Amino acid sequence: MKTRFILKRMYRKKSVIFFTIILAIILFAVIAAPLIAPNDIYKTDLLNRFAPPSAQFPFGTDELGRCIFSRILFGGRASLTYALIATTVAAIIGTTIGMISGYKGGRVDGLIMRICDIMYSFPHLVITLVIVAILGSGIYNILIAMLVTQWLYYARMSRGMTMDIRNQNFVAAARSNGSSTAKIIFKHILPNIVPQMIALTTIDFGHTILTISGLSFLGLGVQPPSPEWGALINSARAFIYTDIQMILWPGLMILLVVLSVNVIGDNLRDALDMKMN
Amino acid sequence: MGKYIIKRLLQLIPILLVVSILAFGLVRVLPGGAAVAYLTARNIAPTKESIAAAEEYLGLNQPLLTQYFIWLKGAAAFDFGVSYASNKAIAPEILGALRNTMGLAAAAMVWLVLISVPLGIFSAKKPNSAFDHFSRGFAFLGASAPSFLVGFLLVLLFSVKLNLLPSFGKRNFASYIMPSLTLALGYIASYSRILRNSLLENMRSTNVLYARARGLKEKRVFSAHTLRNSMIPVVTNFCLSVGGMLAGSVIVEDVFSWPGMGRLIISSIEARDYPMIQAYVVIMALLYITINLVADILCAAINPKIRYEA
Repeated sequence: MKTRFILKRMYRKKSVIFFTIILAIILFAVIAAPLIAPNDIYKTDLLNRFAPPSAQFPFGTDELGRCIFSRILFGGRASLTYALIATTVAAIIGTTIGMISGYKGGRVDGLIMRICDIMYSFPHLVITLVIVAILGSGIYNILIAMLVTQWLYYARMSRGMTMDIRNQNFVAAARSNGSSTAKIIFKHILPNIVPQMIALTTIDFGHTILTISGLSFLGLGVQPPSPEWGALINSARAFIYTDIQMILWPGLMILLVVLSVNVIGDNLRDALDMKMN
Repeated sequence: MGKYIIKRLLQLIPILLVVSILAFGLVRVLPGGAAVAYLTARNIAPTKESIAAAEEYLGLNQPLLTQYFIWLKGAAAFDFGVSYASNKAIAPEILGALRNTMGLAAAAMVWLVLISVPLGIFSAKKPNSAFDHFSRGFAFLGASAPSFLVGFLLVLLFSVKLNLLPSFGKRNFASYIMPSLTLALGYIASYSRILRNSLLENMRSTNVLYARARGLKEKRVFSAHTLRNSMIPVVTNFCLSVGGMLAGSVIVEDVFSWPGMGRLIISSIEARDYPMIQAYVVIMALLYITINLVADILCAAINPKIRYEA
């Protein structure tokens, strides 16, 4: 019931419907990439470099004669899957830590808050870059680095909300029933903060796509010849004067996905009457 | 006010201590240790003898605590030792890069104020007008556009098509225009909205109502009451984003080949030049902490409530 009410409030605006459709189309295309992609993404053809768009190659070919359209479809799989993994894991870990911190209070809370203070004294990108410096470049190290910084947001927010809920009667009732801490946290507190955490995850998902594709653009993430939207732009930058399409299409895909996610997340937040910061 | 500043300064001591330990520890947790990293960066095969020699040279065979204090003493005087990659002193190189990045951030701040303040004020004056919708759309677009895309599109338009601005490097004043605009764009988007929402909230507050009831002119009500109170979240975010920009300029610097901190850290990561990375961490943390402190003090100066509650 409640979910339906929230969704109804969220979809009052046409812009939200529009961007949900855009996102759905892109997601469908990316998931169905093996069925849709007209060509092998690794097959090079040096006689057919920088070909203009044609029936065989809808967006033309790149510097090695590979199909740009197919590479963008598969590149989206990489970008979106990695971003999804990073945000989901960060959300689960962060929310759990935040709930424990907020519910337990005392020393546990103090320790977790000090860790947060220290993390906040560095710009996040610096922490990410340092972790990559130690572990070396590569997408899995990027995911670890993202996790190390992203859980903070979830922990801080779920902690605050847990502290509000902790003192309500139903939690006191559960406690006097002899429910364990784990049961109280996951059965009584979690359901009350899930919508807000989903809104936060949605907005964070957009940031994560930008960060992962940005780091791949810098050559620290997904390594060529594997396609990923940021990595595609990185290998296309040398040809900015000859073929701008190779930069334009993957860039546009990132823009569209992030824009859609941001619009949806922002309206979900409004529908929940949330106040960030 | 003095008391507040002293209290905030004292709170910094433990954080600085942790930062120094983390930065020092960075080189110790490397796979194979610092000596191997040094040899690899200098293209020397890590044999038993060469590792021993490198450990001797880098002072790695001294007790850990001694090493820490030697390093800390150097770092306090901005002496971060010698780069593994170039074998030259780190301080001049990193400070030069820092100056370039700060120049870029300063130019971005100019864009930020020039564009987001009018956008925010005009949107708040007529909420839900066509202009407000436009500025909301612009804000979403600015926050969602990857900076490499924006950067390349600007290059395409102003360097390739119109041939007006230099596409890379730092040569003259014109070199600043595109990189700083690219860097500022995401921030412009969020600021104009923060300012707008904060203005709208304050317009409805009782002190503004009272100011009107006293018969103050609308202009004076706006500048002395609404705008002043609305500046608090803006100033906080403004100061925070200076720190964010100094670190976040990595991609912009890469796109425009800007000789700043971002390019330095990327090339240092590629070369596994750990003392340079160490220096980068210390300088970034120091800057960020200082900027946050300034932000808090500025806000306390604007809003007495913060001073008394803290």
